[in-house]
Amino acid sequence: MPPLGAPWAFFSVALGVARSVDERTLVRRARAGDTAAFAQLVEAHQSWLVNLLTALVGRRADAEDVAQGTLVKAYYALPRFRGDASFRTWLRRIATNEAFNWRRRRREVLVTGERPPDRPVPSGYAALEALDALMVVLDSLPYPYREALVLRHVEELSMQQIADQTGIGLSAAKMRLKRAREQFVEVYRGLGVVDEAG
Amino acid sequence: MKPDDQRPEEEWFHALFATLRHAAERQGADLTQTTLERLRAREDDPRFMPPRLDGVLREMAAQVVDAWLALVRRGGPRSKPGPGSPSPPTEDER
Repeated sequence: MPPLGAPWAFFSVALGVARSVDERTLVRRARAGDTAAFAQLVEAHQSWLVNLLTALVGRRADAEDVAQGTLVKAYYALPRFRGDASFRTWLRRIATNEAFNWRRRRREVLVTGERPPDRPVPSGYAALEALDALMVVLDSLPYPYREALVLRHVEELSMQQIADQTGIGLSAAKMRLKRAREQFVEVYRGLGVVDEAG
Repeated sequence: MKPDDQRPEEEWFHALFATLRHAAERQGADLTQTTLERLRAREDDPRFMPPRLDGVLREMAAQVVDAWLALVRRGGPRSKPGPGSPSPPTEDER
């Protein structure tokens, strides 16, 4: 460990504690109906939230819409937020539920034949950029698989955190991620994209 | 593209998803105003019931049900005949 390790570690921990105390204060004020405090919470988490939801629903415009729905739901659910987990962890759970519901509603729309504006179908898969290819493959996966991949590789959660987040056991979460990766690889290989990650 | 032997699967996926991981850093979001507008619009809706009130009503309903169940467990509510209730059968009627 470098000589300055301990003081820096202490500073970092102290900063983290200060931040979380501040957030707890904001949550308490927002819970009491203080919308300015809630606005501060939104500002602190909105970029992360939209990024997570873009990974889960695909288009950024849809992600922003789902993010707003998530935040509205969170506001009214604040009285039930016990503070056992961080605000972000709690918000992530609401966001993934909202994303799941959004996907289900969208599928219902597709079944009834009213096709919503979708990601443009790429003309040549080989020409796809890595991000486009990634999103096309994610769009093709069932929601639980997509969610598992996003929680692991975008949110960088541990397997135990994924299990807690999705409400399934640890071994079930590992199995879900394994199957998600298998299906992902199969579709990705079918696109014929040059391996950007390799 | 299959993760090869030299490159563990975990690492391969991690590298592939890097673009999504860092997307938030490149593109911010500003939902504060629109979210607050949505909150106001929702509360202006006459059908809207604030969740706090909803919670109070649920709690009251749960207490009534608990009280009723406790009564039933103790042998049921004692019913006293009201003014319009039929009178109990007399000895002759039995």
